[in-house]
Parts: sequence; C-alpha cells; structure tokens
Amino acid sequence: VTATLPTRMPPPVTAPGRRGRGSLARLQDAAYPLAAIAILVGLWQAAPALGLVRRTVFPTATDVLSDLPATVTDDGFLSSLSLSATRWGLGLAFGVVIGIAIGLAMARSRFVFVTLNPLLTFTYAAPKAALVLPLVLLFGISHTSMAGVVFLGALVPVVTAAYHGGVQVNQQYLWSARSMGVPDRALPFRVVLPAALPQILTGCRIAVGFSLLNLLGAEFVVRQGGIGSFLYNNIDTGQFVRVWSIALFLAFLGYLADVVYGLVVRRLFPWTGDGA
Amino acid sequence: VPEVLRKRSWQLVLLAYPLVLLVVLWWLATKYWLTNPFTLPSPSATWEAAKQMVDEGVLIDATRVTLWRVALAYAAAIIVGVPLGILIGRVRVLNQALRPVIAFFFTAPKSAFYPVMMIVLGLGTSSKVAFGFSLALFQVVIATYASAAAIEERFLWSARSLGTSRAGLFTRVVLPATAPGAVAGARVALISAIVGVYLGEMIAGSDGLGQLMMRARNSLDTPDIYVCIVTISLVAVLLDALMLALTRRAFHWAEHR
Repeated sequence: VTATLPTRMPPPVTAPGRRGRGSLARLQDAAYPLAAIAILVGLWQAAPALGLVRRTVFPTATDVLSDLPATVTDDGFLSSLSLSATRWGLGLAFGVVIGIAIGLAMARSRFVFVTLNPLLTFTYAAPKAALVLPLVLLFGISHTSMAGVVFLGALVPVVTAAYHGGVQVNQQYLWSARSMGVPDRALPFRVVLPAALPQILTGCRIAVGFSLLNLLGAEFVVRQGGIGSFLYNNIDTGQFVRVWSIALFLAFLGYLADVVYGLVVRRLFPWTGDGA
Repeated sequence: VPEVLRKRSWQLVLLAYPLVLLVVLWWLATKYWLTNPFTLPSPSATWEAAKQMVDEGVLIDATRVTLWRVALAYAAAIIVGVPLGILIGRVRVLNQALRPVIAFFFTAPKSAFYPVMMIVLGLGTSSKVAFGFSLALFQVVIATYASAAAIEERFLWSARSLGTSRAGLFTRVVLPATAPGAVAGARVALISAIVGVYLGEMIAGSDGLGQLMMRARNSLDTPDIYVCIVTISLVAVLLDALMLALTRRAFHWAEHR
C-alpha cells in the first residue's frame, strides 16, 4: 500500500452562522490575505535593507521584481523555457496515458497486480530524478532522457491513483453494462475508466507537480539546455538577482499550472467534484 | 488474507517476494535486453561493487550523512508544520490570512528555489536540509490543517458542556482528533524529505549519497551509480515501512477513518 498525497487545499474555515456573507465579511476575505502578503513582502524587503542578510545573495523584493521584466523577455530564458516545456509535455503525456493503463490493469487483473506491485513498492519512494543517470546511459544526453525523467516522475502517482480508482469501481456497473450488451473488450473504456476518473484526475494533479520537480532536478544535474540548466548558468556567472527572479517566475508558473488544471478539470469533468 | 498467510514465516516470504522478483527481472534484463554492462551492470556486479564500497567505508559514510540531513529536515518540517497546520485549521483569522499564501507555496515547484537556497545557504548541509524541509513542510501543514479543520463542532461543544477547560479542549479534543491526519501527512512528508535531501546532494555539494552517485558518474563507474540508487530506494522503502508500522500501532483506533 503506497501513501497518497494531499493534493488540494482544504476548504476555508468559516464561522458558524455566517452563511450569508455580508459586505464586511467579504471585505475581510480580501483584506486578511492581502495583509499577510504585505507583511511577507515587507519582511523580504526589510531583511537585506536592515543588514540581517547579505544583499548580494539575498536581494530585496524590489530588486527582484524590477529584474522580472528583463528576465521574462530574455531570449535565452524563453528558448530554455520552451525546451523544458516540450520535454515536460511529452513525458507527462506518456506518463499519464501509460500510467492509467497500468493502474487499471493492476486493479482488474490479479496477475498484473502481483507482478507489478513489487516494482511500485520499491520505486514510489525513490527519487526519480536520480534515474536521469541510467537514462543518460541508455539514451545519451537527449530529449528522450529528459522526457524520460518526467515520464517516470508522472508514472507512479498516476498508476497509484488509477489502481485505487479501478479497485473501487462498483461491480454492479460492470454487471449492468454487460447485461445491456456492452462487449467485454469495451468495458475498460466505457465503464472502468469513467468510474475511476475522479481518482485518476487527482493522480494527474500530483503528477504535474512531481514531474516538474524531477525535470528541474534532472536539468540541474545534466546541464544540456532547458530552464534548469539556464538557471544554473546564472549561478555560475554570479547573476544572483536573476536567479531569484527566475525562481519567482517559475513558482508563479507552477502555481498557475495548478489553478488552470483545476479549472479545466471542473469544466470538462464536472461530475468528478471540484477540480479533483 | 487467508489464514495460512498470517503465519510469521509466510509474512517473511511475502516481504522478500518483491525483492526477489526485482532482482530476477533485473538479471533477465542484463542477460537478454541490455547486454552492455556499461549501461546496466548485472545484479551480481552491482553487489560486488556494493561490497567494495562498504569495505572502503564510503557507502556507510555517505548514507550516514544523508540520513542525518533527512532527520534534520524532517524534524524541522514536523516541528514547524504541525503547529502551523493546527493554527490555520482552528483559528479563523489566521485561516483567512494565510490560506492563499500556503496554497501558493504548496503548489509552487520548490525545486525552482533550490538555486536560491544554494546561493543563500551555501553548498553544505544547510541548503540540502532547507530543500528537504521545503518539500516536506507543506505536506505536513496541509494534512494537519485538513484534519484540524474537520473536527466536528459537537465534540468541542460536548467537551465544553462536560466542564473541559479551554486548554483541556486543545489537549483532549483537538490534538487527538488531528493526530491521525497529521501522521498520514507526516508519512508522505518523510519521503519528500528524503527526495529533497538526495536531489540537493546530487545537484551540488561534496558529500552524501547523492554526491557519491554523481562522483561515480564522473569516474564512469556504472555499478557504483546503481549501488547509490538502490541504497537510497531501500532507505526510503524501509523508513516508510517503519513509519507505517508505527502509525498502525499508535492509531489503530483511527484505521477506518
């Protein structure tokens, strides 16, 4: 049994009896987070200015934010970003499709489960980015190796989620589908997959984050193009403010990817709950 | 589970089965598929390399360094994450203020910040610990927050009406009700701490298992690379199993929640 990650923020805590939201409550909703963010940014700004940290390695918020426009319009940055995005999209797509197939097969066949579960048990906890070295030995320093790391990072959460989703499919759905004339070979697509979809979508959400982590890690180690190696080159040349602004930008990009994922899922599969 | 499989000897067989199967698959792969030992050395060649690395003392030293860093990162994530999660789950003002901030850091890719940690904290232990900490922290916070926020109000009301003090509410209702969820998050966070520390060591530094693997690559010692990967995987699997066993023992009453 592998552990499952929490993927979603728990719902906000609301006061009992404050169901109808007045304008004051709505003002609070906006004001409190803004105040928290203002305090955090203020601390970030103040720490180097007060000499608590060295400004050369820990620049102020304004230093970093004012470098952001130059960062995102930099040609090297944009081409590295698109290279990484290609590797990521490719690996993720394969990871999701193959992961769903493996997970559902494990859920529906005892033999597949007994054969593959040991592999899953031993690999789910291992740092997938470490596998970039064997992949490089196999495929050379290439897109295949980098996309392979993304693939492996995405595979485990998707397989785990698809397995759990597949196991929990109500047996009666299968019986009724069969009695209504759905042929056996169509059952996986017309019954099992749709029924397991909520869990699969949760697994995909974990996979998005995991594969990003692994890709960046692999690109830091095998510096052959991509945003990770671009970031590292900026360390080597001592462009520390640039390193900060790229990190901030990537953090926002990752956050945005998660928000968009939630919106798209809610739109496409409204019956699976709010964005898996 | 059939009755015969409940015997201890059978449980040992069940535990060993994955390992045996993996080694057999590995051996078959080197025999019939990836026959070049530079790409994939056989299990026996890797075992020989491991024995030599143990004899030279490098493997034990590196594992000890990595484990120590994992322990630091993990302890920090628990010490910071559990109180923070309880506060966000129970105190409405903090929840309103910090929920968006936590949501941002929870989903933002932490590896993007590892270069920043290297710049600020240097190439030694602290940047690895910080990276493991940053990966583990938010999983602890989210899991603790979720179960602290899900406590049924009527439990608190009944405890109050039976004369429990405000401090008593915390130790006798909030903590026990939050614990199973927090521990479930802590299990996942342990793996994150291991992944973070190992990844950090791979990227830069001078010691630890991750760095040992990178050095094996630089000297083209393929078997040593696999020894490091197998070691960190075993460490992760064993620590996770230990964590699961401890959780089951301590929270058997919450197993079916």
